[in-house]
Amino acid sequence: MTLSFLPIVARELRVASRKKATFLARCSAVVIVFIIGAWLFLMMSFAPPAMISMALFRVLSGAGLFYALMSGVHFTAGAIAQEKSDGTLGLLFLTDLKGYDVVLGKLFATSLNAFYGLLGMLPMLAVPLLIGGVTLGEVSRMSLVVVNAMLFSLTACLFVSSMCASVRRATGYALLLLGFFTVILPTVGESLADEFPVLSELPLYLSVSPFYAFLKAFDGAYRVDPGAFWKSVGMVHALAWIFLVAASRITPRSWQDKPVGVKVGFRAKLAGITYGKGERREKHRRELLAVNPFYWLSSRSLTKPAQVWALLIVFAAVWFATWADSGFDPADTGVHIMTALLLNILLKGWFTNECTRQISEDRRNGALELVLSTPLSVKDILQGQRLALQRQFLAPMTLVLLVYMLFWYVAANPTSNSGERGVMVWLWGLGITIFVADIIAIFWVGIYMALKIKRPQQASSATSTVVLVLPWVLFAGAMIFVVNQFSMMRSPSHPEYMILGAWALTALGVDAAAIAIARRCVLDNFRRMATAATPGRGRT
Amino acid sequence: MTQASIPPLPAVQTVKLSRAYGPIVALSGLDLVVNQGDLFGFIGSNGAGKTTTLRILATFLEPSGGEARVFGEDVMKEGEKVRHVIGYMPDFFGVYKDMEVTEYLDFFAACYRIPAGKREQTVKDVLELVGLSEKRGAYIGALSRGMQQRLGLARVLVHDPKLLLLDEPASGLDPRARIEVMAILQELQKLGKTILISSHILSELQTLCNRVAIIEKGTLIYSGSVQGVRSETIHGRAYRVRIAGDIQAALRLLQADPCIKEASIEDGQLKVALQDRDAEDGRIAEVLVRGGAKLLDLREEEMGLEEVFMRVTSGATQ
Repeated sequence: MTLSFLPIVARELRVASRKKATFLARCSAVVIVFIIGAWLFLMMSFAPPAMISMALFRVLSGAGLFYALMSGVHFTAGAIAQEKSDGTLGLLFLTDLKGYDVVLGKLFATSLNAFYGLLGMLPMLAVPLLIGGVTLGEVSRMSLVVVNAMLFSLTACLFVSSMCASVRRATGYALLLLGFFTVILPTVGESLADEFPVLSELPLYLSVSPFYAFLKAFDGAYRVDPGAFWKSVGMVHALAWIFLVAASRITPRSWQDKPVGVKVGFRAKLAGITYGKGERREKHRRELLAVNPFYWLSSRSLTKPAQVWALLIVFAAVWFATWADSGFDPADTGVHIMTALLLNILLKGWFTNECTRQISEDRRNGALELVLSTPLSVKDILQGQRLALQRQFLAPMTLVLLVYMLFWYVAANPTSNSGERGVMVWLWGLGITIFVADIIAIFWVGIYMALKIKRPQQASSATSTVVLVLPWVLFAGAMIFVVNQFSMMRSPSHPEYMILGAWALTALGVDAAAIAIARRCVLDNFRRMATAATPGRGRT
Repeated sequence: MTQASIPPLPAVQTVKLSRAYGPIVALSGLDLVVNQGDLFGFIGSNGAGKTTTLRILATFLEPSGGEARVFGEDVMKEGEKVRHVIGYMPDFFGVYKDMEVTEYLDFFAACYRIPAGKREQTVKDVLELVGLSEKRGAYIGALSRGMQQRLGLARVLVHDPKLLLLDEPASGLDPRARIEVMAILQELQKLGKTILISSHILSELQTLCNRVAIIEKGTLIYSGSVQGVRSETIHGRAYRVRIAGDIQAALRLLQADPCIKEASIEDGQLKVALQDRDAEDGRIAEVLVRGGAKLLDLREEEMGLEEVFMRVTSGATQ
């Protein structure tokens, strides 16, 4: 009998090596980084090479760090949680497998694509080295930071996954954990360090942040204090191993049903808050069922609209606190653009998740099939889903649009401090139009992906990629083409309008195409896609 | 059930129904008739095509060829009408674990467009019928497998359908829960429902159903009454023979006779199969007595649905 070390790892690696996705992921990452790099290079072709090189290096390494941190959320946050939710984790532990077998197996299986993508990206970091202005030390340190950040993200999210039985919850907590170590802890630590100088003597709150290591990897910061860089890299790496060991210890115990006790009581209380109790719960059900049964199904949670409002309130509080602290000009166009960008990312991300969640989860567990066995039509289901999203997002998004309109008004004001008033007016006008178009596109593409893709989280990521990322990649590609063909940036008459036009055209073009295709597919094939074989059900 | 009570329009009728999943043929020219009021057992090995047939009837799958009708309506062309009159319970069905039992049924009742005023009473009635009245406020996730199965049965009944399509409704249930579910089905048949049930528990189908169909590799092997299944599918009869004295010598006598298809010793008795149905019962006795064996007892073997199924199917799938 042959004994094999880490049997699940061996199996998963063999499976991954046969998958097309493994090769596609690597190629896609290289293509995206190449397009970003080429675009930036051409945009700045008028600047000195050293400046181009540094800008290129910063953007590429920043993109690499973002990719590394997000890879955990995408690849490992749902890995163990999904097994628990499918009830298959226990089967693994009925064999001789240990916790570390399962955790390492999951880590390798789910993160292979992420790591290959990163491997494809890293050589691109060396391109600025050839242009000049960036040192070999910087490239090496940055590569180390990005790989280390990926390990940290993957293990941290795996740790969260080992504690959750719901993929959605695991994804949320994973984002929170990464945000805590990357941004929240350093920010809070820094603000407290002013009042408690003892904190600044041993700034662990900074060292544990992968972003801090990223900042310290550049030559300027590294030369001042090399120890800070290595300490941060070491701390982040140590945290990754701590998360991995913790996940290995928790996983074998986390799949068993818990005896009725505090946890169940807590869940019941939480359910009471989420879905309401007694007459309130019944009234909510009666009212929504009378409108559309699927509307109630997607809107059972009474707290969902409040959650979006809470996000906006927290955002506003942070905005005003930063203003009070740093004293930035609230009428500054740059501040407005940054505010809009952050709000867009938060709201569109949440909206995407909600668009795909109900249909994707119901399809996966077979509940959607039961709904489809009733006379409820596809049109009814889509209308119910739309009403549920409206209930949750319409008012907060209207408020956000009003804020954007306020920014638009400020940009249009003759006393505005914006240098390019005309451009800014167009920017805000087009930005608002694209925001609305994106939301409609996310709705249709989200439903299509929920029906098409196996896992809820992947459906959400695929929707974001099509509606939110693809236009930017196409825009960058279009700019490279235009600059190459006409060399307009070297003798521009009004290049900013051309850029704006290209941006609006790609964004709205992608939205229009996505809406048309996804809508047709959903309306024509909803029933067929919804009742096709799903992974957890073993049907032909 | 008497012949006179069978209405002319069949509850289910498939004509040359076929369905392929790529190169795999799941159904191949299936002709099936389920009459109104039948409690119809649908039997076949795993992968024989039972679930595919039920899913076509439930309007989920489009057939590759042939046609399927429910109460005369084509399942593909008149899908919406068909969904109004059927209650489909798949072999595996998802439940909303964080929903209360009444909420779940109320939701499905609303999907069937039952007016709000009627829904409360409907939910109460179906819960009583399946014996879940005491669990009306419980979370579905807290119910046992058997109770969830009953809840599934309650769900298919909320709109009072004429035809129930039940795919393995008793799978995974303990003996008590299984018997209870079967009792509910008998009760439903008395209420005039037509029930098409696929199951692997053949002993129960034998007592429960008035008609059965056996399907293998997507093709119908038998369809008709439970009583007729043996006579129409088994060619030749089997007997148990008890003799005094040398059983091996008796076995040799039987094996040498051309009318006897098969003879063996089982549990100290001779098990004998005749070549065909027309062979005379007395042939066995004649061979044994003429050969000098002392015959104590000779009786035709009782063959259950399970044994018939094992004999007529090879267990092959498409």
